[in-house]
Amino acid sequence: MNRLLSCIAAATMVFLGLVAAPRPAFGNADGLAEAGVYALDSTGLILPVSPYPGNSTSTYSVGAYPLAPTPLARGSGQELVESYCSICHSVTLIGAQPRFPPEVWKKEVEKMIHLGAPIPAELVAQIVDYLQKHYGPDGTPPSSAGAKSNP
Amino acid sequence: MSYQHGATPPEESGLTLPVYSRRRALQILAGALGAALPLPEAARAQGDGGRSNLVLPDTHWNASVPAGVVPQKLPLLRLSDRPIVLETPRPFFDSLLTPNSAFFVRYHLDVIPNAIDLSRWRLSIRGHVSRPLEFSFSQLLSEFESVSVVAVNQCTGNSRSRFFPRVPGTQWGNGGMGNARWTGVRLMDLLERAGLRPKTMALRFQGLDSGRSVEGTPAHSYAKSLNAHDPILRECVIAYQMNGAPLPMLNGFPVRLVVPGRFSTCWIKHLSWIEALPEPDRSHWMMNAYRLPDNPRHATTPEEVASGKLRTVAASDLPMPVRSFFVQPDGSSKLVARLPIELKGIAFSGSGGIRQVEVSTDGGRSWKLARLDSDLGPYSFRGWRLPWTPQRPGRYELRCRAMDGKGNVQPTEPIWNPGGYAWNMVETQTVFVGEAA
Repeated sequence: MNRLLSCIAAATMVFLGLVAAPRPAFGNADGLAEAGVYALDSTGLILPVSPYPGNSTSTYSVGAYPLAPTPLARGSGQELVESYCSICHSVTLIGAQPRFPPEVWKKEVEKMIHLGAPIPAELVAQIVDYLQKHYGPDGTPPSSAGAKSNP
Repeated sequence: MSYQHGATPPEESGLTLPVYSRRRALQILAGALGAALPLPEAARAQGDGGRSNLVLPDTHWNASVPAGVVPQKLPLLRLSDRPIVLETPRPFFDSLLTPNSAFFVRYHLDVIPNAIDLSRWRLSIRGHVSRPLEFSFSQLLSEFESVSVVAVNQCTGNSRSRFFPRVPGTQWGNGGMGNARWTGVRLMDLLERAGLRPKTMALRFQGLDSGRSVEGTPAHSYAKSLNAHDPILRECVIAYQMNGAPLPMLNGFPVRLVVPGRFSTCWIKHLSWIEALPEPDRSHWMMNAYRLPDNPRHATTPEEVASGKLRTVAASDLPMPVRSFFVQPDGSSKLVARLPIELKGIAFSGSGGIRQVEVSTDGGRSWKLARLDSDLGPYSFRGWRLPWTPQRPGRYELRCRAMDGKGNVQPTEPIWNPGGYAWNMVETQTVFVGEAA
C-alpha cells in the first residue's frame, strides 16, 4: 500500500512542464485560470475521476490531463521528431496514422510547418526521411515498437 | 470487433459483393497511386496469404485503440492524449441521448482549459457591431430566454478510417459523434443586443483553447466563422447545459456554440469571443481546413485534387449528410436460429430529420421499413427498430439505409476526399447465426 502511494505521488509529480500562459488571439480578461496542464499516465495511476471540488468558489477545475505517450520507432531522426513534433502534439499521433506512402508524409510535414511547427529548414528532410522510413508501408510496425519499450 | 467487409468472398456469403473486395482495393489503388507504387507491391496486396503492405480501410465500428480515462469521463477510446481526442464506444449509442460522461472529445490544440474562473470569464461580442458587449455567465442565465434543442454533434472526419486510399488525420471509427439536449441562449438574442452593422459578412467564434505555436500561426488558435446571412444562425444556441447538466470541461465548459445540423467543426467550445467581420474570414481554418468537394456527395479523386481544379466549400456552411447505424446486434456474439431479436439503431441528418429507415437482412437485395422511435426533433438521433428472426444458421449481412426529410438517401458506394470528411455510406453489419439444435 505504501509502495502504491509513493508510486502515485511519483506519477503525479511528473508534470512535463506543459503549462503555457494562454494568450488568445484577441482577448483580455478571459477567466482562464489554468490550461494545458498534463501529467504522465504511463502507469495508469492517475485517478480516473477528478477529486470532489471541496469548495464553492467561482473557479471550476478538473485535474491534469493524463499523458499516455507511445514511444516512436527507434532510428535516425527520432530525436528530431520528438523535439519538434511534440511541441504541439503527442507523438502518439504519428504511430496512430495508417502506413502512408512517402509523398503523404512529406505533405504532412509541410502542412505542420504551415500550421506553425518551428522546424528549421535544414532539418525538414531528416524528419521526412524518418517518417517515410519508419511509418511508411515497409516501416517497423508501431505495435512492436510500442511493445519493446513498454513491457 | 464488428464487421469486416471484404473478408469473405461473395460466393461464400451467397448474399452480395463485399464493399471493398481486394480487386476493388487494387483498382482504387492503381488509380490513386499510379506509377508511385511499384507493381510487385500492388500485386502482393492481392495475395491471399501474405501480409499486405496496403493499409485497407479499417472497418471496425469503433477505432481499434485502447481506452483512456480523463477527468469527468468514463473510459473512452483514446485516439490522442495531447491534444485530447476520445471516441465514444458503440454501446453508448443504445441511448438516444449520449451520456455526457461518454460524449466524444476532439481538440485541435493542446492548451485545453483545466480551470475557469467564472467571476472573470466573459462572453464578448465585438468587431463590426454597433455596441460591443460582454456578458458574464450569470447574465446569460438571467437576461435571456432559455431555449433547448436536441442536436447531433458529429466530427466532420467521423469514420475517416473508412477512406481508401487512407488519408491523414484522426482515424475515427463511427464514434466521433454524440447526441445531446443543449440548453442555453439564442445566438440571435445576443447579436440583436450588440447590433450587427450593415455589410457584416461573417461571424467568427473563438474559445479559450489554444496551441503552443507562435501567435499568428494557425496552430496557435482555432476559430471558425459562419456566414452572417446563413439561416442557421437563427437556430444556433450558446449552450450552458448539456443533457440537463453543466458542460463537462472537455465538451466546452462554460458555454459552447451549438449549430444544429452542422458538423462540429463550428461548434466552438469554451466560446468566449464572437467577432463580426466586414469581410469573409480567410483564415487557415476556413480556407484550407475543413473544405468539402463542392458536389452533392462531397466526392473526388486523388487525380482531381492533383490537377488543382477541385472546387471546395467550407464544411461548416453545409448540412450534415444523412447517416444511419446499427447499434444492436453488434456482431460480437452469435445469434441463435429461430430466436427472435430486435434490430435497432439510430439515424440522423442535417436536412429535415429522418423520414424513413430501411433495413436489409440479405446484403441489400430486399429491404423492410423499420419502425421509428419518438421524434426528439429534426437534429436529433432518431431511434429505429425492426423485429427479426433468423431462420437458418449462417452468415448474414445486415444493412440499414436512411432517407432524410429532403429525400436524400445514403449512398451504397464509398466516397473519397483528401480530408476524409462527410462519410455517410450505408453501413453493413455482419452477424453469424448458430444452430439452435
